[in-house]
Amino acid sequence: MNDRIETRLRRQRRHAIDPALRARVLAAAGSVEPARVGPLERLWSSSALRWAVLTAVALLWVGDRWSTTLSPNISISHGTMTCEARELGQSMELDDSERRWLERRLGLHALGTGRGRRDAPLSM
Amino acid sequence: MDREPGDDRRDRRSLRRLADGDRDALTELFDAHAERLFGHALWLTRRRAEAEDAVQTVFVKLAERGGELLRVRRPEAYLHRMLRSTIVDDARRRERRPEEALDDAELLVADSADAEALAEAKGLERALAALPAEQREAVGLHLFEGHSFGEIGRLLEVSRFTVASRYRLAIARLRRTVEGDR
Repeated sequence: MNDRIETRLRRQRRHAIDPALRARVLAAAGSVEPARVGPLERLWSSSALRWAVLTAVALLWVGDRWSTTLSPNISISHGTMTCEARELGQSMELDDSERRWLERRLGLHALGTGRGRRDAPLSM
Repeated sequence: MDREPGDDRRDRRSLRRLADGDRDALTELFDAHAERLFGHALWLTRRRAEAEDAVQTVFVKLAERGGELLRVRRPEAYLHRMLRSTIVDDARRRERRPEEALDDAELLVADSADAEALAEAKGLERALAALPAEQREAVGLHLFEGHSFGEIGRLLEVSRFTVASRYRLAIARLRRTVEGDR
């Protein structure tokens, strides 16, 4: 019975659009002032540029991750800082003045474990 | 009338040109979408004049949009969503809901002046007009506009299962209404 009502509906036609609507709509739309598109908006809307920026960001991130693994690991506990150069497999104990110098040099503030900047010196 | 795979790309180009101020692009978009938008509006409003007003509002809004048009990924869905929100806003302004019953629905055209065909069209039109708007929309877009449930789901941003459910409920309700009239 469901099929029957669908068949009956399929035999019907809906009202078609009035051909005069086209001219009316285009005249009405033609009289409005479009919003201005900013140069940055236009630039960003270019998919080539968007892909280029996203690819560059992805490459920078991957590069940063890769180089960070080669940089020294710094850990601070009970006032003693251990600096381990992974690629050399060495570590050293630092006294307070060396630790403060290294903290300033690396921009480390919080106690705990941090990861050194890539330009940190490996030798003291 | 069926959409081709490259149509979205063509429409995105037209939207981009429209954002750049090319009014010919608006004509192209009208020719590509107006008939279906009108059909969609008719199933929601049930009245030709209101459906035409909604289509006009959509294209006027489109002409005003500017930079937003550069970010549209699926133009057809964008237009239909704009149409739907236009109709809902309009109904709200008139303080009535789209599904509120109207005596003078204008949905179907009888193919002949034969009294039986006219009565059949009028009976089905009355039954369709009495459906909740979302169910009538699902029937109209599927049976009359030729969209699959998946396509309707993408246009309305609901799942195809939701569309299928609305359609099935509508058909069951239509059957009861039409049988009750006999």
